[in-house]
Amino acid sequence: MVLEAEDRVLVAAARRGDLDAFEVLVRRHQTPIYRLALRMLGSHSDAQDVAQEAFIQAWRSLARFRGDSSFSTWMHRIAVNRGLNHIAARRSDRELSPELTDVRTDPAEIVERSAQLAILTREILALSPDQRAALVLRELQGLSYEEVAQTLGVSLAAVKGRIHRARLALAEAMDK
Amino acid sequence: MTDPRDTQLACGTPIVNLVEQVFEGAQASDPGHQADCLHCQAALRKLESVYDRMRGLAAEPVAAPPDLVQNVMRRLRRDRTRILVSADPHGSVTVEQAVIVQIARLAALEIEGVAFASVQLTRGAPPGSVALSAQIVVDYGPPIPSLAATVRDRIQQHVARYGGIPVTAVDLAVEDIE
Repeated sequence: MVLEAEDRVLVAAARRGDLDAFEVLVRRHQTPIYRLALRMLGSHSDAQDVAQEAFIQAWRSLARFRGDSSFSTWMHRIAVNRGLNHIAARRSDRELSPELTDVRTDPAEIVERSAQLAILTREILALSPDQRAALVLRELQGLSYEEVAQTLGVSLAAVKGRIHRARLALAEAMDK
Repeated sequence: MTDPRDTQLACGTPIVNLVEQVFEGAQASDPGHQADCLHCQAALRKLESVYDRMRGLAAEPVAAPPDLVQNVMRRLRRDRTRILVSADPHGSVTVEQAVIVQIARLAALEIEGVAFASVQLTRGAPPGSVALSAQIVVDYGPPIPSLAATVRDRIQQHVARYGGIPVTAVDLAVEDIE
């Protein structure tokens, strides 16, 4: 029964402290949230950390979730912010130890995939974090422009500008 | 900084038109020109290649790690006996449930006319808050309704102030009178 309940019903139960209801939400949303983190960060282990922390943060913030967006959009927002924080933290690590590279792709992963997708993945990881987040939400997670704007907390115009610049940057990168 | 939306190809075609044509399915603004223009065709080829790869990447199946749900739920169940009273980007503070209960009990006992107090956490408070039930024994003398209201208010204030967590409800039972 609980498995078929709508998100908003489960959210209401979770807000009352029902962990089993929250577990159903985690199960239901884990794949898109994990994929979002993976596309933003490029590494499975980083993506797992960020996705897990995002769900834990969501549980702790449930009292503040007012339901004016869907649980999915709200979850995306938490995960994107954690992903951006992770990128920022990784950058300051790199400043301390310059041998660390920003773009971490596991070579074993690339082998399994077509070389073309691997190249695109690498180019996406080379975008600025803001552009990358907007592009991944729109092109890979399938959110509408409005949903991307809501998720990132920026204007529609800003989202369109970021995505446009990201697409151009990827096209430019094809020349290399 | 230049606005990339203004950028044009050598033939004068705004690049934004081509991007929207490929990614958003917009109509070609000048199909006649495009059919003959090498600049436009080269740009379209690049954009279409990016678009195709992007669709390929979007369609690529990604499975969440098998232990993700378990890891999350284990952490949350372990947190259960602790109450998160503060979370900010620099870290979090948790307080044992027993500490909250003790604050509530002492708050009640401070009030003149309360001879004994027992407090438990009850289920059903939203995360980030607590709900309590309290049983008190009162001295014969003060009017019970106003004493009960004072107890409830004081518990709420003290748990919020010293425990750092809001109290959504205090179910109070006056169990005996001395």
